[in-house]
Amino acid sequence: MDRPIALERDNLQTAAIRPIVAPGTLFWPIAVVLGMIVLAGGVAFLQQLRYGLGVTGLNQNVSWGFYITDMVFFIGVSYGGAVTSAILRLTNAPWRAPMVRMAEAMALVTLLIGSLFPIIDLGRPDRMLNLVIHGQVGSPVVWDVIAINTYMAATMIFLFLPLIPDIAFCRDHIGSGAGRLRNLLYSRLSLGWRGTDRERNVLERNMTIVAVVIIPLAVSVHSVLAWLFGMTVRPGWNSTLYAPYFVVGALYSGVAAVILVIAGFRRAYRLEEYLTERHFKYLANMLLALAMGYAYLMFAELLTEGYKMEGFGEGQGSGALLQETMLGRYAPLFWGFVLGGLALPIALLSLPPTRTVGWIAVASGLVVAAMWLKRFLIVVPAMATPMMPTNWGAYWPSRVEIAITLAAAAAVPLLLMLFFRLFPIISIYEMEELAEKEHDTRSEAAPAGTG
Amino acid sequence: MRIALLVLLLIASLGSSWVATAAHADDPPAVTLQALPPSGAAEGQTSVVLSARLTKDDTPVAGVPITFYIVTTVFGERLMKVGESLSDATGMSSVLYRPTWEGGHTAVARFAGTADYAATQASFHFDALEAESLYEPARFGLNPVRQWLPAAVGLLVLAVWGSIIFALLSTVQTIRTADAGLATTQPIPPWQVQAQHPAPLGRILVALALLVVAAAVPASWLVGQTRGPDDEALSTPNAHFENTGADGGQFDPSQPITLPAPESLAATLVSFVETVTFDDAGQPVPGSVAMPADVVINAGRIRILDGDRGRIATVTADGKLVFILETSVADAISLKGAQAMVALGDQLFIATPEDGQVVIVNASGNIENAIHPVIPEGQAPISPAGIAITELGEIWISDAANHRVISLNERGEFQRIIGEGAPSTSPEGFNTPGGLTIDGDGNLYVADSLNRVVKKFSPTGVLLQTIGAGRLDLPTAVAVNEQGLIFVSDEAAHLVSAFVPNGGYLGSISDERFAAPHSLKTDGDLLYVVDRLAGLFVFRPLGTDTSGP
Amino acid sequence: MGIMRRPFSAAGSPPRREKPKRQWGMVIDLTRCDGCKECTGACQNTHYLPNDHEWIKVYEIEGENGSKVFMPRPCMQCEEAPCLKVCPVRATYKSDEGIILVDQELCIGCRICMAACPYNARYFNYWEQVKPPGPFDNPMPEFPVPQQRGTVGKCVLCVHYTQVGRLPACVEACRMDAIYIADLESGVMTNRSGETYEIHQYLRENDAFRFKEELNTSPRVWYVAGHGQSLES
Repeated sequence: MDRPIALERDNLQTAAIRPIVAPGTLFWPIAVVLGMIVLAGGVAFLQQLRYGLGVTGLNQNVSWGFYITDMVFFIGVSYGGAVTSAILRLTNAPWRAPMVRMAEAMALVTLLIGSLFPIIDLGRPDRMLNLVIHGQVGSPVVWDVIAINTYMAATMIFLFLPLIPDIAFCRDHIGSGAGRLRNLLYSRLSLGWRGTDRERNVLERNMTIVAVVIIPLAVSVHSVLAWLFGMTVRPGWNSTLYAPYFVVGALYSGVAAVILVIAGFRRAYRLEEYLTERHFKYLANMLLALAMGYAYLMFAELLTEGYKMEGFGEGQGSGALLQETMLGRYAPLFWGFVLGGLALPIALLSLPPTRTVGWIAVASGLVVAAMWLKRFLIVVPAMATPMMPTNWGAYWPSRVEIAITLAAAAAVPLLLMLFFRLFPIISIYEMEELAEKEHDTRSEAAPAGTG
Repeated sequence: MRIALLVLLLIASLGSSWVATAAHADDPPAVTLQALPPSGAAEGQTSVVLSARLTKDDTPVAGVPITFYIVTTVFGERLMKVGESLSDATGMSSVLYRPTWEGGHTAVARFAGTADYAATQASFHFDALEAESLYEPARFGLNPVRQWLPAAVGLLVLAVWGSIIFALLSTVQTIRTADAGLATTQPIPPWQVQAQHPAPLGRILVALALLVVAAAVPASWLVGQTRGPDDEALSTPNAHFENTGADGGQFDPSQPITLPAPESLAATLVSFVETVTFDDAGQPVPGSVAMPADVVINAGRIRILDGDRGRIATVTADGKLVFILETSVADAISLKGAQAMVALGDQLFIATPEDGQVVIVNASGNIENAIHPVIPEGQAPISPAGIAITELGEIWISDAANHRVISLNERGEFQRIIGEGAPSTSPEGFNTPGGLTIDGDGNLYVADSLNRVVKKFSPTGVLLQTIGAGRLDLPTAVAVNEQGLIFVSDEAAHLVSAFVPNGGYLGSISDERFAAPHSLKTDGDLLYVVDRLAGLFVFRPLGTDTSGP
Repeated sequence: MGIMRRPFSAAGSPPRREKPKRQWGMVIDLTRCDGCKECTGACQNTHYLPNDHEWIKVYEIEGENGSKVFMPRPCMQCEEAPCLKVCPVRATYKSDEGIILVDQELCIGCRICMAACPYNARYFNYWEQVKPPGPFDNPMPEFPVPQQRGTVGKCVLCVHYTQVGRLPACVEACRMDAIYIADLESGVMTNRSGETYEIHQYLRENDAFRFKEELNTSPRVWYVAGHGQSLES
C-alpha cells in the first residue's frame, strides 16, 4: 500500500513524524537485540517465581539488594520528565518545547519499569492485592504505593493531554503511511480534537493544573522512597536529611537521563535542527547546578556522620559504615562514584572545551551509571553493617538479579523506540503554541511598525 | 542383787539412749514453723505481710533465714520466691508481698535447715482483695499528632487525585462538545512524506521467532541458576530432625494392641506410700508433689528418686517422705531429669540425662562422685532410661533415644553395646529400651518398651530369651526376685505382670490406684512398685512357687 | 493445642479467650550463659527451622581484657515494635498477650520489617522449607510450622507452649538455667529448674537492663549482667 510521493520539504511536522513512518534500517536490529535482553530478564523472573527469592544473592543480613537499588534508580530517573516538562513550563522557558515529548515519554517509561521492581522484590507477589485490602497507613510501603500510583496517573495525564492534538495531526495527515492499526489508534485516541480556541484554552489550563500538581507529587514520591530507609534505625539510613537527599539525587539522574535520551534520538532521527547545541548547553547548566547541589547534600551528610563516627568503637553504627564506605571494602565503589559521578561530570560540564553535545552526553552517561552505583551504595552497605555484635554481612548479586537489571535498562530504550513508532517525537502542538506566543509577543513589542 | 539390777537398768537406759541418739544421729532436732496468716486486709491495702515463727520445743529460734514463696500456676505449679528474712528474737520473720492477682493465694514459708535444726516448712492461704498488676504498657508519645496526621495526608492525596482527574475529564469533555468547524488555527502548510513499506506481518513474525530462538542462549545460562551465590549460608534442612519411624514398616509401635484378659496374681498390699503430702485442710502441700521415677532399697531404707525435681527422699516409718538430697540444675552435679536409680552396697547410682553421667550418692544423701561416660567418636550422647550394676561394678544403662543398651566401667569408658542404634525388631535390636535389671546369675533383663517384650541377655551379651510377647503393652521396667520370677510393669495396661523363669505367664497384679506403674525393685519377698502418679506400692506377691501354667 | 487461628477479618487481634490475662516477657541471666547454643538448637528443632534461621541467636561479645560474654537474643517482643509499624499489610501484629506474631498468610515478603528491626531478629524464608514429619499442616501465627516460602518468620516466645503452661523450647533447653520466661501481668518468672521469682523485684535487685533502650522500642526481654549479686540488705 505504498504511495511513492516526493518529499516537498522537511519541516517540523515531517521531522516529528519521521520515526513513525520512516524509522530507518537500524530500527529492527536494535529493537531485536534489546528485546532479547528484555526476554532474558523475563526468563530470569520466571526462574525466581519458581524457586523463590533464594535464587538471588540476598541473605538474612542483606535482605535488600539489586531490586531495591533498581527501584530507587528507575523511579529517580523519571524525574527528568517532571523537571523539563513541568518546571520549565511553569517558569515559561520556551527552549523546552522540542524536548518535552521525549522527556515526558521517558518519565513514563522509566516510572513504569521502576514501579515493577517492588513487585519483583516481593517474596509473595501473588499477594500484591493485600496492600490494598489490608493496607496499614503507617507503613512507608503503603505510602510508596499511594505516591507512585498517583504520580503515575499524573504523568500519564501530563503526557496524554498535549498528545491529543498531535494524535489528531497524525490522524489527519499520515494516512496510509501508518497502516490500518495505527490509524485506528489515532482516530480513537484523538477523541475528536478539532483545534478550536476553546479546546486549546481548556487544554492549556488543564496542563497548568497538572504541571502544578505534578511537582509536589514528584517530590513526594522520592521522599517516600527515601523514607523506606529513613524510618528505620539502621546506620546510614537513620538520617533526617534523606528525603531532600533522594529528591535532589533523582533530579540529578533524571536530567542526565533526559540528556542521554535526547542525544540518542536526535542522532538516530536527525533532529539536529530542532534540538540544537543551545538546548544541550541549557540542560548542561541544569545538570551542573544539580551536581553541585547533590555534592553539597552528600558532603553535609558525610560531614555530620564523620564528625561523630558514632558506634565506630564497637564496629557498629554510622561510624563503622562510613569507615567501610570511604576507606574499606566499599571504597572502590564510593570513590568511583565521587570521581565518575561528581568530579568528572562537573569538570566536563563546566569547562568550555567540553561543553559540546558529545561531551555533555558522555558526562550524562557517567552520571546515570554513577547514580545507579550510588543507589547501590545507599542500600547494601547499610544492610551489611552489623547492628548486633556480629560480623559484617556480604552480598553478591546472582545471575537472576543481573539479568533482570539489564532487562530493565534495555526496556527503557526499547519502549521509547516503540512509543515513537506510534506518536510524534516532537510535540507539534507545543511547538506551535510557543511559535504563536512568540509571534504575539513580537507583534506586541513593535506596535509602531504596524500602526 | 538390787544393785546389780540398778546397774543393769542404768546400762540399759544408757545403752538405749545411746542407741536412740545413734538412731537419730543423722536427724537434726525437729523444729516447728508456724505460719502466721496475714491480718485482715484493709480497704485499699495492696501489700500483705507474710510471717512465720520458728520454734524448737516452744523456744524461739532466732537468726536463721526463712524464705517465703507464693504458689503460682502460670508455668505449672511453682513456688515463686518473694522474700527472705532472718528470724528475730521471738523467732518471727516476715516479708512484705504485693499480690498481683486477686483471689486465693497459697504462701509457703520454708526453713532450709542448719546443722542444728532440721528443715521444715509451713503453708497458709490468704485472699487478696485488691491486687494490682505491676505491668504498665509502654508509652510512645506524640499521640494527638499521630492520630490526625494520616487523615490530613489522606485529604491531600484525594485533592491531588481530584485535580488530575478533573484536568483529564474536562479536557475530554471539552473536545467532545467542541463546535465543529470553528477552527482558528493556522492553516497547515501542504507537505508530503516519503512513505516507507510498512513491514508485512510475515516479516514481523519471523523476526519474533528469531528473537525467541536467540534468547535461548542467555536463558539457558539463567536457568542454570537455581541457587544464590553463597549456598551454604542459605537454608539447608536442619539435620537434627530425622524422620525415623519403625524399621522397614514391619512393626508400628503406635498401633494399639489388644491383650488377652490378665489373670490375677494374688498379692498382698503391704503398704502404700503416697508421694504427695496433704496438709490438714486436705490440700496438697505445695512442693511436695514428687513424681517418683525409681525406688531403691538399701541400708534398710527405702529411697525414692524424684527425677522431675532432682531430689532423693527417704520414706520414714510413718510413710512420709523426707528429702535427703535436693539438687537443682544450677548445681555442679544435678539429678534433674534422672529416671533410674540402683544401689550397690551403701551407694546409690543415679543415671542422669546430663551427658548421661552417673551420679553416686552415699547413704546420708551426699553426692560422692559422678562418672562421665566417655563417648566414642561419632556416637550420640546417652539418654538413660534404666540403670543396673553387676557385682563387679559394670554399669549397664539403657539408652532409650539411641535404642541400645550400653555398659560402662567405673571410669565411664564404654565396655559393651547391645543394639543397633536405631529402632529395630531384630533379636539384638531394641525400640526404646526402658528399665533393666540383673539377676543373681548375672543375666541382663531389658524391658524393650516399644517392641512389647522383655529381653534376657547372657552376661556376655547374647540374647537368651524373649519374655512376655503377646502379654505386654508397654513394658517400662523389669525386676527379678530371688526365685527367678520376672516382674514387668506395664504402664499402658496399668498392671504388673509376672512370668516364670522359662518365660511362661504367671499372672498380673493390679490395683485400682495404678495410674502409671513404672519402676520395680524386689527385696526379699517384697515387690516395690513405683507408680509415677500414685506413689510407691509395696506388695508381697503370693504363688511364688516356680511351677507355672 | 487449643490455640485459635487469627480470624481473617483482620480486625487486628484474635478473639479473647476465657483465660487469665498474660503479658509474656523474658529475662536472661548473662552471668550464667556459657554460649552453648542449645537454645538455638532446641528452637530450630521445635519449629523445624533451617540452619540460617536463628530465632534465638547467641552473640559473642568481647569484653575488655579478652573476656567474653555470650548474649542470647530472642525476639525482643517490643511494645513499640518498629517491625509492626512498617508492615504494609498488617501481617505483623501484636497479640493480646503482647507477643508480636506474623500471619504468614498475609505477609507479602517485602522485608521492610527486616530492615526496620534494630535487633536483626527476623528471618526470611528464601526457599521452600523442608516439610517436617508429623501432622504439621496447619500452621498458624502462634505456631508457624512449616514456614512459608517468601514470608518472614521470627521467635514467638513459644506462645504455643506458654499458653498451655509449658515452658518455651529455649527455656527448657538452657542447661545453665539462664533463660527465664515471665508473665508481666502476674509478675511470675521462672526457668527450667524451677527457680521462680517475682519479676519486678528481681529486675530491680539485679540491675536488669534492656538492649538498645535508647531506641524507645520498649523491649520485653531483660538482661542481667555483672555478678548478679542481690542488692538486698
